[in-house]
Amino acid sequence: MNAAIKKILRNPVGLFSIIIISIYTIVAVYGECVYRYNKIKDQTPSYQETNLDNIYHSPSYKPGDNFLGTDGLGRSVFPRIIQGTRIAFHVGIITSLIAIPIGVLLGCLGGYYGGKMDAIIVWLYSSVSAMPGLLFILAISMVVGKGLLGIYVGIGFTTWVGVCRYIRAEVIKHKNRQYVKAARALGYSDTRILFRHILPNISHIIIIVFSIRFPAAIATEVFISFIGIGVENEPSWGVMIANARTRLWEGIWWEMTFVTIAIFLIILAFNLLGDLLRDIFDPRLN
Amino acid sequence: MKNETLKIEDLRVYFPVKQGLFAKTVNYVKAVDGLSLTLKKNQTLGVVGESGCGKSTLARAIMLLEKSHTGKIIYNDQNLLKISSGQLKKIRKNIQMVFQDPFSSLNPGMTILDLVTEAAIFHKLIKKENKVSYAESLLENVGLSKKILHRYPHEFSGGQRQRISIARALSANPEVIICDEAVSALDVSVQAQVINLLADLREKHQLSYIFISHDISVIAHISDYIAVMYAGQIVEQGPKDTIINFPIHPYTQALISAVPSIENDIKDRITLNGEVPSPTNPPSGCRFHTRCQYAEESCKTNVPSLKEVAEGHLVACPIKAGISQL
Repeated sequence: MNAAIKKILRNPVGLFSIIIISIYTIVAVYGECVYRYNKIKDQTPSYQETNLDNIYHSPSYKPGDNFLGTDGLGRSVFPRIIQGTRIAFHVGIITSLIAIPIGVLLGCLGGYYGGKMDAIIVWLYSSVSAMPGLLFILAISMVVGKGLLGIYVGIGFTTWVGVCRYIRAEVIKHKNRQYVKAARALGYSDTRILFRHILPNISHIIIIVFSIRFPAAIATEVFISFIGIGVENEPSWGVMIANARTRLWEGIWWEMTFVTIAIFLIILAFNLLGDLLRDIFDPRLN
Repeated sequence: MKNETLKIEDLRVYFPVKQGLFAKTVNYVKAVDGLSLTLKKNQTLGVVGESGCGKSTLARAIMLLEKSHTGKIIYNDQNLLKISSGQLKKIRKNIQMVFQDPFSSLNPGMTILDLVTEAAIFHKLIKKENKVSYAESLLENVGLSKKILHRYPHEFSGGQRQRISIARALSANPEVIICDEAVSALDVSVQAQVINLLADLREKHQLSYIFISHDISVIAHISDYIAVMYAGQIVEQGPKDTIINFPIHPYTQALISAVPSIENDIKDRITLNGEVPSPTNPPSGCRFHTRCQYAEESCKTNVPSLKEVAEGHLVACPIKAGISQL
């Protein structure tokens, strides 16, 4: 594991993506603190305060002024992007926390036991992946109500399929290795072999899958919020783009531009990191 | 007889051949077909045969890693194929295995310490706190340094890994160790070291081995008793010296004459034509008749059974066995 971290940091692309992801993480944590602070104080946070005297203020670099300009309700864009980062990280982490355990568990069980269990799991993930994901998320947000909860549940319960497939294939590959046969010969139970012997050898896949799932979840959330069935009354990046779109033709470019850059950078960084992790961990390339 | 450890009776391992839309079983690959063996205490039983004759399947069947169709594997008066999984778990640690490929048989993600002590902890032979000293004594047994405890398998050579595999097999304190081509993947010089190590350990820990190999010179070196396998069946078995010096079955004769020798140049080497018959459709009668130079018409129809020609020496060839008795 240490060797992998060294390899990433030595690679310029890896270093770049790690720096970007670190900055975003710090920003997201800061955003969370601001959000919590305002919630405890029970006050309207500054990024939600409307100031109708100051709408569509263009970016200014004077200290104390609106750094990235203001939007149509006079709200400063910069803190709203920070809050968008917070929401994006929430979505990325929580959907991964839903999808990865489901995918890993089902993939392990199906791959290891085979037979009927495998047939049922393959049938299950084939059925889920046959449904258009967006419609599924729509349906869920209709049931649990609009907002972040619908997005967490909707994305979480549709994206485990990829994880499951990947893990299942790896488990099938490993279960015929001799070290697994040796473990069976030593009399270990199936659960011990599966979770103590096979899973540690494929755990790098979980890291890779996380680095791919995270930006995908963010992109999905942005899109869903953009079309207006996702986050409401909170500055998600999707909501901000949807708002900025209306006045773009009048030359109000800053909100759209900065939000897009924010999305672009984090997704780029995660995708580059994901590719790099796959290169590093793929034994065929070593 | 009390000095028997493991007894195999009429073991058959068939793999179904499935075909068609509904995976109908159309035939069976008869990898091991009616095989009986007896392993005596503190002895080494060598099983020799060419590739594809079912040696490794036999090893896996004894370890219960393959589902056997019929037969008995008797250990301590219990048929391992019949007892419950709870009882089996207790017995399993008494029969251990050393695998052929030292590069894939060790879990790459575990340290040597965990590899060699996990089984002992799992079977409650030692407590977790004592695992370092236990591992050290095991490594000393197999001739490795104590310093390697916290290293990973990929840092070692083939011979060292095979020693680690042996240490792992020993950790459960077994009575029987099955070595499935345990030295075939190693260099000749390392082979000798590992074979001698196994022989030493046998004396020290009162072990019994079933030693499986395609190399009759290795088998001759380590075994007390040899069984020759052909197409899933045993064609000849007996004490080592008898088999090596006075082979009776034509197949055994061919195997032994194929061993290269420095001292005497063998002129009349017996060469076998053709290949091992398909285990799906084995030849009728004697399975060796398609390649046997002594084959007669009756060999094609009569299935030979093992007949005792001398004490403990069994041969499944009525023609040659008859000659030797004259």
